[in-house]
Amino acid sequence: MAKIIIPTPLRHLIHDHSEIIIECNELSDIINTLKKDYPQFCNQIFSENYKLKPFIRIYLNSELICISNELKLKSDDEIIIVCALAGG
Amino acid sequence: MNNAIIVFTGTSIDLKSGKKILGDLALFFPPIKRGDISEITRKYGQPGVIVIIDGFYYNNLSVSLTEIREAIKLGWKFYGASSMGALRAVEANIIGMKGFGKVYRWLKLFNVCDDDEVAQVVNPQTCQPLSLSMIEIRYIVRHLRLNKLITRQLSTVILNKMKALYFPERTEPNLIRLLKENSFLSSEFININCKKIIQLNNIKNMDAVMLLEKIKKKYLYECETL
Repeated sequence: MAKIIIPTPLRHLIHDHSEIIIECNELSDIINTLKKDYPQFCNQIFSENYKLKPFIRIYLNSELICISNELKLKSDDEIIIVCALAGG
Repeated sequence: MNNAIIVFTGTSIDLKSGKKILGDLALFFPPIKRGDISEITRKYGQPGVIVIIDGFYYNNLSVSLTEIREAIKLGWKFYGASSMGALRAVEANIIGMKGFGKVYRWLKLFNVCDDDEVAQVVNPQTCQPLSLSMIEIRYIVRHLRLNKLITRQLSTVILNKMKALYFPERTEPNLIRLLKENSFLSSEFININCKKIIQLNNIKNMDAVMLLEKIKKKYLYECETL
């Protein structure tokens, strides 16, 4: 089970939830659940082949990570989805 | 000096490190966007100093030359470095904005006024960078070439490939992947050393620290002419 924190601009696609809990062992389980339950949200964060869209970043327990389907998750993991801004 | 010193930053140098250098001498604001300068000039009647290090692009309108010109006419002094600050300093140099640091000198030397060289994606909450800018990549690749870790030819290939990417995709993992695919260096060496090399060659951060140190010397100790 992992807690997914949803970024404010995308909450309307997920019934205004700020976070959701998903039963999972690896990242692909989360992607499959999101695809099934929240297809519009999925379209906003993934492009083809479930590659993250350019401005989307994922933190796993406060650490920036690269998406890999095989990534194993622990029961108390927290995933934060961030809609990044252009800056610098 | 009693007039306000305003610093727009957060990405090239984090707030904590910036405050460590300037303490109470300056007021820190998040990266600059259009409209911020007029708000500052309205709020602080007496002209002071505006230091631009970072800014926002694309999702927000970026700070314009017109805004800088209007504030300079009112008596405000402008300094820029690192990122958006260096870029605007190149453009506004002729009207009195001063630029500092390697990024500024590089942009000026090659007459680059292209946002794409300094743009990166940032975390909207913390302003922490989430990708590398092209200018940082150039500096890292130069370091690898000068230390004979990659050839001149390979450095050109890597720079061209990174430049061809959309700027949010210019990430550390993508740079490391390109190095692994193309260089004679072992994956082990790259894994161990590249992150370190990338961190040590953070040119935007070096320039930001240098400018804030200069501001401190000038306005706190009044011992250096900027």
